[in-house]
Amino acid sequence: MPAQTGKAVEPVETYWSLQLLSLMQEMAAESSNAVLMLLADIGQLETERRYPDAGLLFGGGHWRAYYHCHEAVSMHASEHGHFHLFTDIGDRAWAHVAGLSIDAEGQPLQWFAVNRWVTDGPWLPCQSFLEQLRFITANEAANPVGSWLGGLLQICRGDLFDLLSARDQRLEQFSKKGALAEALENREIYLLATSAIELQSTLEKHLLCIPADVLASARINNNEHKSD
Amino acid sequence: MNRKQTRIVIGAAISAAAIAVVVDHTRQRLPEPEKQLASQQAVIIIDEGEELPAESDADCGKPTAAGRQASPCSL
Repeated sequence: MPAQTGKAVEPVETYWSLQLLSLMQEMAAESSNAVLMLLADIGQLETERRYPDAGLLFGGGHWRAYYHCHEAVSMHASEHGHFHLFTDIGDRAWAHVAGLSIDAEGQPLQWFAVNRWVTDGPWLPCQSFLEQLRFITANEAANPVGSWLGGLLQICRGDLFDLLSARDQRLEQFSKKGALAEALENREIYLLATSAIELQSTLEKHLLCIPADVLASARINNNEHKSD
Repeated sequence: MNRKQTRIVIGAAISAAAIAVVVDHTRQRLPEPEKQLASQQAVIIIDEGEELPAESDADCGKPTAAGRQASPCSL
C-alpha cells in the first residue's frame, strides 16, 4: 500500500476519521481524553514510570503502547509525556513504531522516531508498518484508549510512513560506510525524525466536503464492521 | 466504539465548528508528574538471614535490569 501523504482523501481516512471523531465525542461528553482515561486509576503520576507498566494491548493484541513522562528528556517543547507504540511482528518480537508526544491538555503534538537502542527490539521496515495496520479494527469498544491510538495511527498512516522513511534516510547519513548496525546502537544518535500532528485540521480535511461516493463508501465499510 | 454514536456522526452534517467543539472538549488538564518516588529497580528485598548485597561476591555495580537501563524506552 503506498503512502498517502499529499494525495486526495482516501475512503479509509474518512472512515477512520469518523471513528475517531465518534470516540472523541464520547470522551468530550465526559470531559476527558485518552491520557486522562489511561491515568484514571493511578494515585500519583511519576516520571520514568510506564502506564500501564506491562503496556496497553490493542489492535487484536498485535499492538502495544505505554505512556510515560521523562524528568530530563523531552521530545517537544510543549510535551507533557509521550506514548511509545510497538507492534508484534511475530515470534514474540515487538518492534517500536513511533512515539507520540502529548501536550499538557492531552492533545497529540507530534509523532517521533528514535534510534533502535532507545527502545530496543527489532527494527521495523516502513512497509511492515502499513501491513501491521490491518490488525487495527473498529471492534474494540471496551478499550477506548487503544481505540484512540489505533484511530490516530490509521488517520496518520501516510504521515507515519513518511516519518519512518525519514528515519531511515537520516540513519543512512550516519552509516554511509555501511555501518548500519553501529549507527543503530550509537548513543549519540537519539531522535531521528518528527512529524507534527494537527488533529483538528486533519479531521476537517478528511471529513468536510466529503464527496458523496466517498461518504457512501465509508458508510458501507462501517456497516461491514458492524456485522463482524 | 459506541455504534449508536457512530451512526449519529455519520448521519449528521459535520461542520468545522462541530469538529472544533469535540476537540476543544477533550482539552483537559493532565496531572503534573512527580519525580519517581521509588524505582522498582532500586528495591531490594532481603529475607531474614540472607546476606546483604554488599557482603556477597556478586557484581553489585551491575544494574539488575541491564536491558532496560541501556534502552530507556523499551517495553
